Amino acid sequence: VTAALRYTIGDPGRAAERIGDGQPTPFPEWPDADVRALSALGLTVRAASVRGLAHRAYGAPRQDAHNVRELDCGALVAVVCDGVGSLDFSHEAAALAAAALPDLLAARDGRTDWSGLFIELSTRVREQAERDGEPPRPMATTVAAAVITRAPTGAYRAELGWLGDSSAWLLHAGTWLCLTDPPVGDELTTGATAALPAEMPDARSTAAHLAPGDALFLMSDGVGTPLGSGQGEVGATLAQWWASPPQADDFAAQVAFARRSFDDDRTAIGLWSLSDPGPAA
Amino acid sequence: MTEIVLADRTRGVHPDDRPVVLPFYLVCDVSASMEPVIATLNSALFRIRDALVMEPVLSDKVRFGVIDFSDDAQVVVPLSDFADVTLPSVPLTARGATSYGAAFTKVRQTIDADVAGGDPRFRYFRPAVFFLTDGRPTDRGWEQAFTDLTAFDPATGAGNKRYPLVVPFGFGAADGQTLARLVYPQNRSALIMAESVSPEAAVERMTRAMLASMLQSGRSAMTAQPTHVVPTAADLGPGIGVYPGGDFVS
Repeated sequence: VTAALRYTIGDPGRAAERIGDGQPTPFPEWPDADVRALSALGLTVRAASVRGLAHRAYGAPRQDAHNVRELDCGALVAVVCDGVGSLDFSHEAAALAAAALPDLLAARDGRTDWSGLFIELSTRVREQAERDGEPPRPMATTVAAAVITRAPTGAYRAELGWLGDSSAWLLHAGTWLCLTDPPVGDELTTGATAALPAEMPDARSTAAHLAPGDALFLMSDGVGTPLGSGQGEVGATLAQWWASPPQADDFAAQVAFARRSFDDDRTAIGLWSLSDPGPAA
Repeated sequence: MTEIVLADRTRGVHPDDRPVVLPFYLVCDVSASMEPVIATLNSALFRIRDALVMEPVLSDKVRFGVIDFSDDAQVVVPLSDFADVTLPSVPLTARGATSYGAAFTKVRQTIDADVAGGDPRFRYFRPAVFFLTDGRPTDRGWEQAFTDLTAFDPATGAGNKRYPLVVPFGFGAADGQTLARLVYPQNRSALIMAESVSPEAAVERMTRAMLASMLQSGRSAMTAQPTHVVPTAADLGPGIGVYPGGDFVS
């Protein structure tokens, strides 16, 4: 099989050329891709989760999931979850966490109490794993989320919380700035858990401002790992493609760019602050 | 006008643009006593090549090379994208005695050339060496050649910083006590020793286990933390022992 490669960065690799759409999964109700395009809070939003080449090759499901939701309190929630690859039902953990986090935030009127949020999310994931009795179905997921609010001045502020190796980035004047800490092998050094469920989720958090023309991105490591420091070929290419919001189907195809050896599931959410939107009503 | 040309071939290539590849070497005894199993070995090389062709996800990340040794050692198939390689019709032929020292010296030279002078598009993970033999060393001084290949002191930087993981595979007249010394690093590798199977079956199953090890290691490279996956007793089946480093008793 030779796939039609819509977007490649550098050498696409043999897998991208040979695997094509790949094998079906044991979970037909769970689609290969999930794509969103919307405008909210004056931001233009594109989001895509796409099954990676390795999962296509071996008939495994997409384990990434995302969600974008505007809360009644006026905040916009974006969340990326990456199911832990070695556990057979991690796509359920990712789907559940992505669906549940906006509900938990809505119940808090958008307050970003990340430790409390991740403990509740952890409980939900554990309940899902144990739903069909013992033994629990093996599943776990990372999470990276942004809660974006718009001040009366029109300025955007993003509260970011994450656990594990999904990341958040600011695309500012064509340059990638990583907002989350680069992944390190902390399982070995600190014993910290980098996925849910966890007894004591190691919630990390920070905040960022979006200037007019900036875009905020949340990514699973399927995009974050090839992006690296953001200063290589992938960083330059994505910055060019995403200088302004693409059409939704283009965005999904770009998120799934072919590059040798990078075959993980891909998820990215982009939130563009296009120009000075003026004061909020 | 004199121009100084820097020899660093990775210069100008951003670290983000160098994906990880995992190099593996089969270092294969072809001394005269190997004659009865050479055909099995040669067909195993074609099988490994065909398996990698069928596994494009993994062959994007795995590099494989073949070195043979008897009185001397030679590169039979250079480290390469093995799924694309054109194999000689008869890659290995038997000859001469069993110089472990010649093998280890050639492995060190080859790794240096492949990794330091290799394709600057890639970041090379630590190489793994599958050392397959049916006999005891017939040379003197092989221990020093092995030390030159493997010893490294991270504190001072002395020794070979590109030392490989070494997984010895023994059958026939190979000596377990000797091969146990080649397990390197002792805490991350294992000795694979045939005990009650024919030489043909040993070579067949050992080469299948090598392929499984490469594929599983390649799978680990999909994560941010690649690792060497050493063959297990389940990969080898009954009649072939798997002894973690420092644990060999006989």
